[in-house]
This record gives sequence, structure tokens and C-alpha cells, in this order.
Amino acid sequence: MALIREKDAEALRKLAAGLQNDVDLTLYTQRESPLVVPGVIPCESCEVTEQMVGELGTIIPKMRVNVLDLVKHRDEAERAGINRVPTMVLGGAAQKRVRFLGFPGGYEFPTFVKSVLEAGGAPDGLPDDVRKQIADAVKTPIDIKVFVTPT
Amino acid sequence: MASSAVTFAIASSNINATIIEAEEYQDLSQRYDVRGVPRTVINDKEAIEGAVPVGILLDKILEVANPDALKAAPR
Repeated sequence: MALIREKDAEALRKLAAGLQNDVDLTLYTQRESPLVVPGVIPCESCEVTEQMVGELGTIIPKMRVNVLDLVKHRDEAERAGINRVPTMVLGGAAQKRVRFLGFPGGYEFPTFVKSVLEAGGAPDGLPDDVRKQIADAVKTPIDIKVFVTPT
Repeated sequence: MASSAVTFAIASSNINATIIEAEEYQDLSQRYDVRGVPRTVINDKEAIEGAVPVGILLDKILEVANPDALKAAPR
């Protein structure tokens, strides 16, 4: 059964139609294994997250989904500093500076989709003066963590 | 908050944004003293509780980015 309802998918197709940039999204996940790997804790939301980004990838033509298994692609995950699953790293205009940890369902789904669209070049609504203020004043690394829940 | 953080991160190559599902990552929630959501933590030292206007998030980012400017400002 699809996670994204057809009505929502149709609305998304319209929003995504004008995207300028390709958006690559890398999902670090952990697929179920018949083997018990020491130190590896089963991931409850990995399957649903993979299904959701897979569906989104078919709805948004500019979105390219790359799924990496944390165990199988350990070196690549380590290089990217990923040690938790599911983690999604957003490319495109976000240039891997935006990450989502956990399944962005419920009330977080619109935020996630908006992020994908903005990374694809959709208007972000940021006033020019604020953009300039950020460009002029933020010269050192700023790390923002936002804790959310889907309900 | 999450949406604004992402927009800022896309706008500036010096800003990273991580959106964390607090219930799934309870260890991180504990580490960052999350008692309600949204909770926004900037450079692991400044925090904003709840959903606030985007201007407040921007001010906090600018404050963390330019602590000297703040010290120099008249009180």
C-alpha cells in the first residue's frame, strides 16, 4: 500500500514540475538481515522510510534516491559521518548540509517535502534582506539541530 | 523551525541543519535536554524552545555567528 496518497502525489507533481536542479537524496538505512550482526540494533523505521523516499522519487522527476546500507556500505557511511539509521542526506542546492534523522512522517512530512523541493530550486520565500544578512554575517560554521516529532 | 533551519542551510554554505526525530533518537534527545518539541540547538550551546518566529531563529544564529559583535554592542 502506498504511503503517499494519490491526491497528495498529484499536488506534489505540480509543485515539482518547475524544479530547476536535480536533487540527490542519500538514505542510509539498515535492511533486515537473516543474520544477527553483533552490535547492530534492528531499525524500526528504516523500511517505511525507504518506501517513502522511493515513492517520492517516482513523484518528483528531479529527485534521485540513493539507498545505502549502513552495514554493507560501512566505509562510505563513515566517510559521511553517518552512524545512525535512518539518516537522509539532501543534495542539490542543499549540498549535503541538510540531514534528516528518523522517519519524517506525520506533521514532519510537509517539512521534508518542502526541503526536497527547495534543494531542487523551488522558491524558499526568504526575503532578500535576510539572505544578505546571512551571507554577510555568517562566516563561521553554524550547526543547527531541530528536534521534532511526527505528531 | 525545521523548515526555516533547512532554508537557512540551503541559503548559506556555512550553515548545516539536522532535523532529528526526537522519539526515535532518545539518546540525542537526552543529550540535548529535549523536554518538548520543537527544540532548536545551535552549535551545541544555544537553544530555542518551541516554535518561534523565523526572526528569532535568525537573531540567535547571528548572535552565535558573531559573539564579539554582541559584546561590543552598547547595553
